Amino acid sequence: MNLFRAEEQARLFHDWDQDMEWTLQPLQWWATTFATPMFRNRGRSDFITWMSGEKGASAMHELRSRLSH
Amino acid sequence: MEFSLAELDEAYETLMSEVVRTGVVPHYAELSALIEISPNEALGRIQKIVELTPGWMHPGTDYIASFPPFNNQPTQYRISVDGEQKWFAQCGFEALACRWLFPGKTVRIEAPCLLGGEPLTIEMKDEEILLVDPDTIVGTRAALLVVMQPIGLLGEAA
Repeated sequence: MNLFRAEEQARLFHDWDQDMEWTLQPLQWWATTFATPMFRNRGRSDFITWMSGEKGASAMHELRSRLSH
Repeated sequence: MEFSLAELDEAYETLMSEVVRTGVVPHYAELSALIEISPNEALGRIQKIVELTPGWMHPGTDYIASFPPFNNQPTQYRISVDGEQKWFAQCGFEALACRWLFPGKTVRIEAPCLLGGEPLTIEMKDEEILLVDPDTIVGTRAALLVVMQPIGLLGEAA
């Protein structure tokens, strides 16, 4: 889960995996992904309860959908 | 050792608030003192939280290595808040989530590019992305297992 200065650098990285090319996304896309509820709610005083409940499941579903290819 | 969700909430909130305050996720002996439980129980709660979230212990030890979005073990992703650098992000993506723990503050991410070491700089404040330098920054990953890890484990919490 790394950031690179530009697409060409990412493709030259030793761990580059052509099968995961769809994960090569602009910073804004990853910033939006990591702005979904699973990440925003970590500051809650009941985070584990929240994560284990319906809202957490919904948040994880949203994240999985976004990260599905 | 079984724990209630409320007990795990208490430990998680304490670990998170301490790393936000100090830049370091407390050791279980410190957590023990902070929430007035035995060291053994503190370690047990930490181990359960690590199972439920995409963090990890350093192999073969009782040390928390990663507590997302932060890392106790330094990474190349240095996080500064309002000009003070004392945090490390778990990875480039989790670096983008650190801002949610510092509402209303400017969070700066600085890292070397893994190809050549040239700098990457990002500044965020709540919903805003204030700076992306260079503006061509991209992210990529060979696998997405870490973020997906908690899914199958949620049902195990007592």
